[in-house]
Order: sequence, then C-alpha cells, then structure tokens
Amino acid sequence: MSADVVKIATGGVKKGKNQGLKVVTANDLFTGAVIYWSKGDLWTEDLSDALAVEGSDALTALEKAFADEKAAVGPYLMDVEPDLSPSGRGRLRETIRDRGPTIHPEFGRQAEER
Amino acid sequence: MYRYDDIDRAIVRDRVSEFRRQVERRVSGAITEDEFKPLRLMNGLYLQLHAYMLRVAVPYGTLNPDQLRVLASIARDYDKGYAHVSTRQNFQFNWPKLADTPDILERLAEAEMHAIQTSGNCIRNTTTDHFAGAAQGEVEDPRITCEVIRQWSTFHPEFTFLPRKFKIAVSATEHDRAAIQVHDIGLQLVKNDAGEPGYKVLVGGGQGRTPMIGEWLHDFLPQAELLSYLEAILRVYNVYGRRDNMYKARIKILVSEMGLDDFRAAVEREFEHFRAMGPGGSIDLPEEERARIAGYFAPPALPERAGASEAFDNALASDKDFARWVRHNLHPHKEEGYVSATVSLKPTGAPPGDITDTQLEVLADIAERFGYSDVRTTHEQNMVLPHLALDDLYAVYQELDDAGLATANAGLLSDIIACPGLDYCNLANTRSIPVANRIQERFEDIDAQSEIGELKIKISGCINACGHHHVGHIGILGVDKKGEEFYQLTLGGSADERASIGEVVGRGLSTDEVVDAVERVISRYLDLRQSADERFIDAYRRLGAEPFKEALYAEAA
Repeated sequence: MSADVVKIATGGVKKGKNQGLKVVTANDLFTGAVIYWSKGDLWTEDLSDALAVEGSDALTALEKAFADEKAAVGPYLMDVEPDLSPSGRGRLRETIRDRGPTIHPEFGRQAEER
Repeated sequence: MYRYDDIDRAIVRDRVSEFRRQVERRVSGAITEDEFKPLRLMNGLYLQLHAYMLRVAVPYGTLNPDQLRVLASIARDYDKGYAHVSTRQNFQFNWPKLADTPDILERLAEAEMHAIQTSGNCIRNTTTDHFAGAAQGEVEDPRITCEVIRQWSTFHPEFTFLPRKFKIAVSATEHDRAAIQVHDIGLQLVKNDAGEPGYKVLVGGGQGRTPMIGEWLHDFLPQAELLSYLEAILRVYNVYGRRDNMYKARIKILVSEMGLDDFRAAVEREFEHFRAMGPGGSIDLPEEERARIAGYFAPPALPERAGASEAFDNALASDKDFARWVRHNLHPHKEEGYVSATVSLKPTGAPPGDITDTQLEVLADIAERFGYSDVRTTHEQNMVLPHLALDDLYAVYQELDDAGLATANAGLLSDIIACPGLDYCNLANTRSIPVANRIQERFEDIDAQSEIGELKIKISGCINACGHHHVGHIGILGVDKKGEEFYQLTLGGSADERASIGEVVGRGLSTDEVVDAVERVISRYLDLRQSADERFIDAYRRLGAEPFKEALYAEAA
C-alpha cells in the first residue's frame, strides 16, 4: 500500500485514509490542551501556525510527533483545507477541539476572541 | 453514611501516593503513554477532546456536606468553576491538568473520596435508588448492599481485568428508580414468604450498541449468600466472556450466546464450590460484619412531626412558584412530616448535570442546616435532599431558588438526560447538550410541560449510549453521516420495573429537524391520550409506534 492511501487514525475511534492535506494534532501531556505540529518540529496551540503536509510527508510528521512523547499524547492526522481550517468528516470535531465546547463559549480559545 | 475505617483510609492514601509517582514517571519519560494510560484510567483520569477529565466516584450516590465543599473547592481551584453529575451517580471534572491530579486526589482522600473503579474493566461504582433510606416501601436501605459490594469488589485481584467493565445496580422497592434491568447485574431486594430479606438477581442487561433487558437468574437469593453468588457470576464471566472483540465482551453477550439455562448452570457449579466451604469458609460476610456496615446506614434521628405543616400550607397558598416546585420536585418520605426533594440540575439552556462551585456550597449549607447532612446524586443527573421537614421546606426552596437550583421540572420533559457528547467526549459522533437545550427552549413553560406530564427524553451522542437513549420514552441518538450531525429517534423505552428498549422509528433527522420532530410526537400524544393521567409511555404501550411514526415523518417528508 502506498503512503498516500495508508489507513490512519483520525481521532477518537475513527479511521481514515491518508489522502489530502493533513495536520498532526495531539493533546498536551501536562494540560490536555489541543496542540498542532508546526514547522521546526515544535508544537503550537495555534492551528494557523501548524505544518500542513500530504502523503509520505504527513506520515513522517506523524512519526516525529509520536517520538515526542514527553510533550504530547495521542497524535493523529486531521484533515485541513489549504487555509488550515478543519475539513472532511472530522470538521466539526476538530473545530470544537480547536475553539472549545459550543455550549460554553466562555471556555477554550473561542473565549479569547470574545 | 459509611465512614472510612483505617483500612479504607490507608488504601486510598496509598493509591494517591502511587499515582503521584506514576505521574512523575510519565512526565520524566520513564514510562510511555501506552504504559501510563491504563494507570491513569484506573484512577479515573481520561483524556477528552480539550483536556483531561477526572471522574470521581460517588459510591451509590451518597455525599455529605464536607464532601460537597471539597468538590466545590476542586471545581474552583483546579477546574473552571463547575462540576458535572454523570449518568452513573458520579462527579466529573472536565478541565484538570495532569500535574494537578495527584493533589486533587489527595484533597478527595481527605474527605473520604477517590476516583477508583470509575474506569477500566473492573466492577464499577454500584448505583442505587437516589431516595434510598427515605423512600416508602423499602425492604431495607439498598445502600447496605451497595457498600458490601463496594468493599468486596474494591481491588478484588480476580476481577481487576475483566473482559469489559461491569456495572451493578440495586433497588429495594417495587418501583425501580435505579434502572436495574439495564445493568450487567441487577439486584432487587425482596422478602420471601417467611419475611426474610434476599435478592432477585438479574443478569445480562445493558445499553450500548447492543441494548438488552436483563434476565432473571435467581428468584430468591438469601442475603447471606450474596457475595458467593456474585463471585460465582463474575468467575463464569471472567472465564468465558469474550476478550477477542471489545464490542462483544460484556456479560450480556455471554449470557445471550450461552443461553440463560447454560449460564445459570455454570454459575450454580461455581456457587456450589463456595457452598461446600460452608459458613466461615466461603467469602460471604459474617453476620456481625454485615450488621456493622448496616449500622452506618441507620436512618437519621428525625424528630417526630405531624403529617401537616401550617408553614408549608401557607407558603403553598401564597407562592405559585413554590407550589409548582412542590408539585413536581417532591417525593414522599417514609416518615410523616418529611419529604425528599429533587434539586434539578436542568435549568433551560444549561448543560444537564452541571453544577457550579457556589451551588455546591449552597447545597452543602442547606443539607447541613435542614437536610440531616445527607445529599444524593441521581443517575438522571440531578441531586436530591432526601430528608426535609415540611416545616422547613419553604426556607429550603427559597435558598435553592436564590442559587438557581429550584427549577420545577423533575420528571418533566425538560428534565433531560444528555451525555457530554461531542462538546467534550472523545468517542462522540455528535453533540447532545445543544439538542437538549433546544428542546428545553421550545418547551420552556413549566406549566405546559406539566400539562404534558411525565416524559423522559434521553440523548446520546454516540452508540455507546451514555445518555441512556435506549430507555428514554423518547430517545435521541446522534449519528454521523459524512461529517454531518443527524439524530435517530427511538420511542417507548423505559428504565423502570417495566423496562423496555425503545423502538427505532425511521430515518435519522437533521439538526434542524430534530426538535420539530420531538414536538410533533408530543402533539400526537396529546391528541391520542385517553386522559391527562395517561402518560406518554402508557399511551405508547397502548397504541404502538405507528401513530407516532406517522406524526414524525408526515410533515418532515
């Protein structure tokens, strides 16, 4: 199976294919906060700073993220649009992870914009 | 209530120290996440969408004011100012940090609380009637049985790695408020012809992706043999339960695949093994130990009171809001002049089951001054003050009302069970709480809800059914269709002594359609009911699904 169609975890119990633009996401080990793999092999809490990659580059980024166990928990590949907004089947889930619970607009990153 | 003895205190403190070291090793990199995950789960620490979630055990839903204050302090110091009552009578915190968790557990331990057995494939918190010890018609306080089970099951070495999680519920009244028929084991306290207490034993109930009503395994188990019999059931499950497929690993699947007769025979063989040991040889409790545990559940010293209260009657006549609350949120008490009150955690627009740190403290103060220091959580995500004098009731109501805790909707359609759903949960497909809030908003008028009568709406954001949708009079299951939220309605479910699994009625409904659909079902019920006394579930049982299906899809088509 080539790298671009390999089955991958896509968050929760869901599985998907490694097709299209991806960002590696995980939770911060210490706080549980949602984090994204960025350029320079660092984690960021800002999705707009994430590294968007495809195919074998996505798998390489995921492998590096897995190796950084001292900072992150449960990395996986999420679908993104070219502007880095969440896309695909996990769009709502990833939007909620990024922004915060829809029932508590006062919590999460969405609160910072209020 | 039960108070820790030296053994309880020591094991809980040791567990906190052990977990502190485990966290340190994870942070230092000495152990991997794969090694750490089962350890944190054994201490109730999950990782959800945005943060860790700590589930705190509330054995059989009983709390005292000091414990409420500790929960409030944790909500304030380590969370975002609120806690959440789960559908298994536990508390959950949605925002703790990993490094803080050992300190949180230490604070809990000071107040005789912990997070043990709130996750993992072990025997979970035993749940029961939230009116236990106060309800009329009890064989005895079911919490005695729950505490016996807690002591037997805590750290039981044989049952720490079962094929899957295992849930037991106990009821001591004919009317089942503990949903015993949808648990792995359900115990109903009964008396035999000689007046001796014992148990009717159900096995193999459950919800999730394969909902089943439990089957009667034993008609009358003498009380003295409870632990032998439970151990026999667990041994059969442990040996024969499937470990190859987690979706087929619950005991309900084993009972179904073996057949009840063969399962019972296997249990009886194990049971005989214990019986052969005789008194003193088996694992059953000596009577004096059982009596010691029972002593912790002696009823509070309630002063004798008249059945009527002038203060109560005057308030009832002068305050319509109080009268409305009295009509819906009170439950009869076994002692004259007293009642139990449901403290609704379902105000319109708030997540069902959420309670703030301040509200927890108000409730603690009320319980201390008026409620004999006894507070309960319910599996319907509310709280209960089980012992209140009628004379004090108006004062209690006013303080609850000032704290936003006097929503008069217990048992009505806005008293909705909803799982955390996709707003928090890593497993969820869809959101649950916003749907609950939209239904509450549509039917906000409590008097209109009162006209509709008892109606249990239960919402789950995925097939794991934490929101108990299978046993909702109207159940709502969230399903993911190509990334969009859809909702599947089930009708006719019930979790009481006439338990039933709701029937799936037709295609999933979009987010925009689902509240209108619920309203159409309710309108049809109002058209069809024989009288205001015929509840939705009674009308459904009389008429079947068809007229409601027609209403559901006629206008949606």
